[in-house]
Amino acid sequence: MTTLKKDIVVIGGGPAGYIAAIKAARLGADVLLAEENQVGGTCLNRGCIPTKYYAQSAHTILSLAEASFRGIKVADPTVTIDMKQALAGKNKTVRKLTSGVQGLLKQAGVTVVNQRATVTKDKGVRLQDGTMIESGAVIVATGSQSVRIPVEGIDSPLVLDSDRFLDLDHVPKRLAVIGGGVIGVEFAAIYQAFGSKVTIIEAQPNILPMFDKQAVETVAAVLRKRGITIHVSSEVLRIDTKGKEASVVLANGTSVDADLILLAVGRKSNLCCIDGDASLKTDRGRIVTDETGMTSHSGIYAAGDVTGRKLLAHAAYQMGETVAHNACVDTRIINAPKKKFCLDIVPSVVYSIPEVASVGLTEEEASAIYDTVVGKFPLSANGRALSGGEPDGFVKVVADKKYGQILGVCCVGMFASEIINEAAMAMRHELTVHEVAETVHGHPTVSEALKEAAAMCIGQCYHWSS
Amino acid sequence: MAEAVIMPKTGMAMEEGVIIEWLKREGDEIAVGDVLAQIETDKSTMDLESDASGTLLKLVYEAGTTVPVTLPIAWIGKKGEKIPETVSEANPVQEVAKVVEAIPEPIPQAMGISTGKILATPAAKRAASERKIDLATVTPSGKWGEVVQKDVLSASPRVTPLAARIAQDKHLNLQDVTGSGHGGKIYAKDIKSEDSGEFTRLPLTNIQKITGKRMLESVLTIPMVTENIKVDMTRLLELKQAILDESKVKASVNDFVIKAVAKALRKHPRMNSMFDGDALIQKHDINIGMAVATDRGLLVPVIRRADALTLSSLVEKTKTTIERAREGKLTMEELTGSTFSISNVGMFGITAFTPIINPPEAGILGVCTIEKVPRIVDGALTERSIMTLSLTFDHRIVDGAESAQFLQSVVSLLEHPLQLMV
Repeated sequence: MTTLKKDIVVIGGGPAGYIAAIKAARLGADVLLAEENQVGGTCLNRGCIPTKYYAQSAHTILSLAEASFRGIKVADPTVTIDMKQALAGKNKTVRKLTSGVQGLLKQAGVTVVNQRATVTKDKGVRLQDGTMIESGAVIVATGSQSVRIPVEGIDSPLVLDSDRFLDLDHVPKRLAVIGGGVIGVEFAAIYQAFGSKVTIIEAQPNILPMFDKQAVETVAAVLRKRGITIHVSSEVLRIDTKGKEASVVLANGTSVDADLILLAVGRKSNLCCIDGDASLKTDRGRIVTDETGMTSHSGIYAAGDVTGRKLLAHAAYQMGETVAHNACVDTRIINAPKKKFCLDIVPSVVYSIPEVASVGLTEEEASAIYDTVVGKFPLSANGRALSGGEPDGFVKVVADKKYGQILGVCCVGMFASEIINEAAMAMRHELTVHEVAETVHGHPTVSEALKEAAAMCIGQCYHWSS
Repeated sequence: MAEAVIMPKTGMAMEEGVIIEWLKREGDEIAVGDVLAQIETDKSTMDLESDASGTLLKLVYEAGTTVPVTLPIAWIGKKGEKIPETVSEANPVQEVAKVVEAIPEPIPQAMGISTGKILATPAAKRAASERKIDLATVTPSGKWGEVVQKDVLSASPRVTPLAARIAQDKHLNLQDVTGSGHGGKIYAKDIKSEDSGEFTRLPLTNIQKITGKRMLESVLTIPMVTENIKVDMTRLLELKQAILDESKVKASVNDFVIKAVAKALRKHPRMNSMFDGDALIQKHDINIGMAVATDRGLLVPVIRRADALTLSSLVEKTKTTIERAREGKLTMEELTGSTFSISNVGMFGITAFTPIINPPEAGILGVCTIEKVPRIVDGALTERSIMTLSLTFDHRIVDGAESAQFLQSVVSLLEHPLQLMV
């Protein structure tokens, strides 16, 4: 049995793992990264990037539909999507990005092994081929996977999770989406544009339950207008499959017929690497860490989805950087104080067409703690959004009355996913509504709505009177 | 048009200033806030900061020259620009406006105690107002503790807008706060700990900070001794009442003590001296510093030439001075130049204490409460009004015997108060 010696071993090559490996290597550590599949993790291979590839295709289809209103005459107005070609295009983009990550890892001098790895009792790491690796620190970044619900008929071949859905080479006629969270709503919006008759089934009283109520109402209204059926407060009783058709039977007796069912009810930590002997402390299936990312075993860190903290690639980057720094401190590669996770201001985006993006507290959460003031600027009064044909949506700024501290921002509509970063920047560096309102924004841009909403909080919005 | 750099007027009494040294040369590029020269006024030397930016076109006077205030001493403008030949060409109205701006801030000197206002150069004030920075949050680097422009400029990225608002609202002084951001930038969480559930951290006023610093310095550098002595104030109180009844002059015990101390200092000039390494500097004027508690901190206004004042003019002077101190209206002149101080805590019933010397003075006299006590006078038991005086002195300047003799003189004057009237 071979034994390797490394400073730091990273298990998992997703956003948390690859960033941790690159950072630790750049700090001077001898790093080994074990990834059983392709580097890039869920984000690049099975999540953010592939869905954004399809979301852009959906946008294009929807804008073609709008083209005639702009006087653009298309001779044959039938629009269809060739899913085989779409799939190939999506895979090409994914490959480009994953090979980019491979390049970055190589440049940083990280040893990448394409194997499953397991943490052993004595804090060592064992590779699939039996190789043992001794190291000063281990970083567990094994990510997450879709969860299944214990419902009768869930094992039907017509029920797919998001991973498998992204490899579809055809568009189902009727698509039932179980779960109205971020993943479910994104797929629903995409496949509606691709031509499916989509039904969303959500157990909670609202789709996108973590987001601002008004934002969700706006999105739901647009999705419904486009032909998506949304069942809320609806529990799935069972799934009946007959050949190539299935029906999702809801607790209220309604039955949703579908050719394919997307199961998008959430994700759980991927604990395969600690199945062995390490017995790391877990809580509801997530690896427990302190604020520095340290698990119940000193010398073993965890970062990203596996911690269950915030299941977002950009949160994973932050955690990955933090644990890499701390692991380098432990292994005396650098001499510095340890860092803590900094996840209080992390934007989250739904590419739901229209997009929804938020950062910080929702209006409801904020008003429970602070004396708040709200500025909500509608995109119907924004020149860029109007000329872009996307007047649905708004930018909402929730601030505390006393100091004008920005407590939360929520955007719905055109470019929401980009605008939210400006809000996150302002919040991270404690700019108040006064400074945001004072900042000259380019015109015409959708971002102006952020400035206007901030100005509204201090009674200085001159493009809207509420 | 080229802008004139004028000889600043830094105090009401300042009529001219001396250019000690030019720190920039003709042709140098000048930024706003750059120190152009060192100027000596009647009281101090100060850095002359530029209000303008551009090329230093001309130095009108050489170093060493005495120039009346408000006259142009240098010109700044665009390279090659023509300089006005006369002052009138240089838009004198504008210059006068600048002078007014330079006047109101007195410079704290020997006493080192300010009136509670933040001292700042005009350029610093302008920069602070432009950037909405509270001057109180800026660490001053000026020679006299004044905030200069570069302090404001370097302070501006140190605090987030939110933290600045919270600090302003809670009157927090951010000078000693360690920021957790890049370059020590202060975030809201860094100052929130100041108001934890367990305690509230009250920031000090400028007066309190300066007083604290000077008191510590005094205790650490001066070998101090305190002597207590009892004074029979019975006759003085009778006299005080008689004066009130007969001449309507309402003198306080403190006024009599000031008078007695001033008279005694004339007799014991070493108590009116300051220690200067290998010599004593004996002050000719007797200027009594009078500690006054205000809501912004302890102030020590000065009664000048107290020995030369009649009782009625002394009474008037102390009364108005105390009022002005409490209203924060004292000028720098009224706060500087004392040669001996008095601190009266008698109204609080204090029977003895150890006052701390107000450097660089030789001593400070603590005045305590008057108690009615039984005493034997001429073999008979009588009620007398007895007061304790607590004298702290610098043992480098006087020794225990000399200081005791000074105390005896004060006691004698207070016990034979008619001597104070002549």
